[in-house]
Formats: sequence, structure tokens, C-alpha cells
Amino acid sequence: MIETILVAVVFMVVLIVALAFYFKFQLASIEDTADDACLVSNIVLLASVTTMPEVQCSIGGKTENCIDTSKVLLFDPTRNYGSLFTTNCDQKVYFTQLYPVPENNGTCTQNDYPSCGVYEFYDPNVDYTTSIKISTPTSLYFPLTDEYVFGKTTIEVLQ
Amino acid sequence: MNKYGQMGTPLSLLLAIVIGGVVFVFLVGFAYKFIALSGSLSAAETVVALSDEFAAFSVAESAEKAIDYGGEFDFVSYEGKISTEGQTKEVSEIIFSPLELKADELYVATKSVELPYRIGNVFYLSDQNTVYVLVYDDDSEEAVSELEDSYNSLPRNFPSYTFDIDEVSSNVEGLYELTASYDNVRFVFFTSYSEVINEIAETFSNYDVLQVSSSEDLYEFGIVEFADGSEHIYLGYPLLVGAIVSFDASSYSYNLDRVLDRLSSVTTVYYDKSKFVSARLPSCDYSALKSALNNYRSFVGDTESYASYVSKIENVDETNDALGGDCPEIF
Repeated sequence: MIETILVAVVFMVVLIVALAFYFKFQLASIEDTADDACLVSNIVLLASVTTMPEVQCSIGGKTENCIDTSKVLLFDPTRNYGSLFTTNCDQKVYFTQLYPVPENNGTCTQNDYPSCGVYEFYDPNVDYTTSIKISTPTSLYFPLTDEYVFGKTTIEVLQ
Repeated sequence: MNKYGQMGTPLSLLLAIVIGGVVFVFLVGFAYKFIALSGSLSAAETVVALSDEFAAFSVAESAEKAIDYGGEFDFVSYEGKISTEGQTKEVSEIIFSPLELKADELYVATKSVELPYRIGNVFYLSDQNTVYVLVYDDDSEEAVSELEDSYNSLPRNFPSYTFDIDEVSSNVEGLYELTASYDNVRFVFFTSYSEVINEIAETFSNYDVLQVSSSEDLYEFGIVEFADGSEHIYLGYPLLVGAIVSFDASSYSYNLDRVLDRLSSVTTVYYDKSKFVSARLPSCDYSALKSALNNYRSFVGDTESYASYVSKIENVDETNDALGGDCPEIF
């Protein structure tokens, strides 16, 4: 009788430990899948963000493959437009001028435009420990002078 | 065996059976939960992948494609959400579609909406279970021709036919045979249909009717009346196609509101840009465009009069076109 109970108890303990390990690895696997899906979504977003009408160039009634820096500068200063970004994870989106090198590399405001380097488009203002940066070359357009400069679009995936 | 053994054996056996039964029930329950979890994960991956497809597709101003899932898919698309097997994902894209999509291939199309500047893309979905029959008269023939074969046409991978109203009234039976392979037939009348509706009702079992009316020659802006009798405006062919494809008036109205939200957002950007450029280039006169954009911005959201949109869009477009040279256009 006692032996049977002992065997049952040992069996249950072994089963519970095995299941605990199984769930731990299963959870890690699901988290990896979610991270991969998040990264894929953001790579897609990297291609599509430059065609958002809120920032894309529209010159003479025609859209062009460039970012209108004045639109980024002016678009919704509250930065409260998360509904445009519905990937399953948080990210920052910004545009950086690379060449010619800007007079300062700080974040652009209306006061220092266009002598600045970074145009913030989206920042969800959340806490994060690490981030993965993905970027792509982009043409930046300055409507006041009708000039184009070389830059890049960066998405910082927050984790 | 001693007497303890003789008493203990049946008890041990009973205990072993009870414990074994509990473990068995636990493992079977675990297996079922695991199957459900796997299904949920698969469904979640499907909706996320679909959402990514839309995002990638939005780069094009006008495009169509078929997505082969390698087996039958079954999901619901309604009011900005895609659901399958209990998994729901909110999508930022504006999607016009039937309620339930069930087939081996999903047909997706996208078009850019310009009022007069681009405000984004709208998407259309089809499983080819619904056929769209566009019916015109002499006054609307050109408009239907535009929807049949032009840049503004209904997606070519969505099943559709166009007929003159006289052809329909003289051959409803033939039309029934032509569309018999589809689950549902949606008639889109660009003319009065009172003469044919009774015969259609007697002949077709699964059908509904959408009526389009407009004071514009090419029906680019107008009003759609849904099967439930409710009327909604449409602004441009992309929204007219959206109304034709939409499951019902409610889902169209929801997407119309989202389009108007985007229009408001983008118009505010251009209004702010006109103020900004005007301040930086004091020698240029942007007052007319600022005023036009401000009026337009204040008006956007009205869903009563498409004619007011027509006049405001023309005004904004003309004042922007009047700029140029050292005074850059705003859009």
C-alpha cells in the first residue's frame, strides 16, 4: 500500500517536473516565434512606411519616392498616431540625413530646420531593455529649396 | 501472502486504478489543450501573415494578386479586424470585403485614394464566391465602362459582368444560368431597376441589390443605396468599388469613416505645411491655398453631401496648381 503510494507520488513528481520543463521550452519557442513575426512585420513596415501619405513627397500633384521633411516635421506634434502602426510589438521610426552631413546631428524641430539630422516620425514612449535597428536608404526632400539629400529610414524594434 | 497482503492487494489495485485514471484523464486533457493551443498559434500566425501581406501590398498604388494558402482558408473580415479560429487581429489598412471568406485562394486588390492628394490605399478581398453584375442605361454606360476596363476598374480577379438594363429585363433566366456557379449575386444598378426587380426576386435565391446614383457624368462621386435601404456617399471610384464589394451598409460606413479620418489627418498635414512654407517664404502668397485647405479640413467628416466634397476638392486643387516656380506647390 505504502509502496504504491510512494511510487505514485514519485511518478507524479517526475510528471510535474517534466511538464514544467516542457512548458518552459514551449513558452520560449512561442516567444521566439512572436519575435520572428515581429521582426518580419517591421521589415515589411520599413518598406511601406515611406509610402504613408503623411510623410511621402507629393510634388505637382504626383507622389514621389521620397520623404518630405517638412511633413515629418509638422505631422501631429503629439506623436499620438499609434493606429498607423499595428504590428505586434513597439517600434520607433525616424529618418536620418546622411549626406551632406547636417550642421548638427540632433533631432529636428521647426527652430533648427533644416540644419538638423534626425526627423522623428513615431515614438511610442514605452520602456524597453534592448532594440534591433533595421534601416533602408531613403531620399529626403526639402520643399523650401527644392533639394533632395541622401538619408535613411530606420525602424528601431523595441524589446 | 500474509493477511495484510491479502487485504492490501485489492486496495493497492484500486489505488493504482484511481491514480492511473487521474493521470490518464490529465494527459488526455493536456493533449486536447495542446491541440487547441497549436490551432490558436497557427491562426495567430495566419492573421499576422495576412496583415503583413496588406502592409507590403500598400506600397503599390494599384495592384492585384491571389494568395494561395495551399489548402482551404476560412476567416472573417469586418470593421478593421481579421478573425480566424478565435484569433483576431486589428489591421490598420482599410479593407472592403464580404463578411466571411472561404476558399483555396484569396484574391486581394488595392487602390490609392486621391482627394485630390493621396491619402492612402484601400484594399478589397474576394473569395470569388460572390459575382458582381453591373447594370447600366444610356446615361451610365460610360461610367460602367470605366469600372469595367480602366485604371479605376473593379479588380480583374473579382468575378463580374456588365449588362444593359434592357438585356437584363429581356433575359433574367439567361443571367441566372450565367451566374449559377456562384453562391451569391450582387446586382449593382446604375439605373432604375423597378421593372426587373420582381423577376430577379422570383429567379434568384441568393442575391442583393446596390443602387448607385450621381449627378456627375462619370459617376465619380455619388450615393450608394444598400439592400437595407440606407444611403451613403462615395468619393471617387476606389470608394465606389469599396461599396460594391462591402458586405453591408454598416461595414461600408465604418470604412468610409476611416477614409475620412485619414483625409482629415493628411489635410491637416498639408494645411500646416502651407502655413509653414508661407512663413518661410514671405514673398509668396499662400493665403488662397491656406484658406481652401482650412475650409476643406473643417468640412471633412461630413457624410451628407458628396457635391460639397467635389467643389472643395476642385478649389484646393486649383489653388495649388496656381502655385509653382519660386513658390512651391504644397502637394
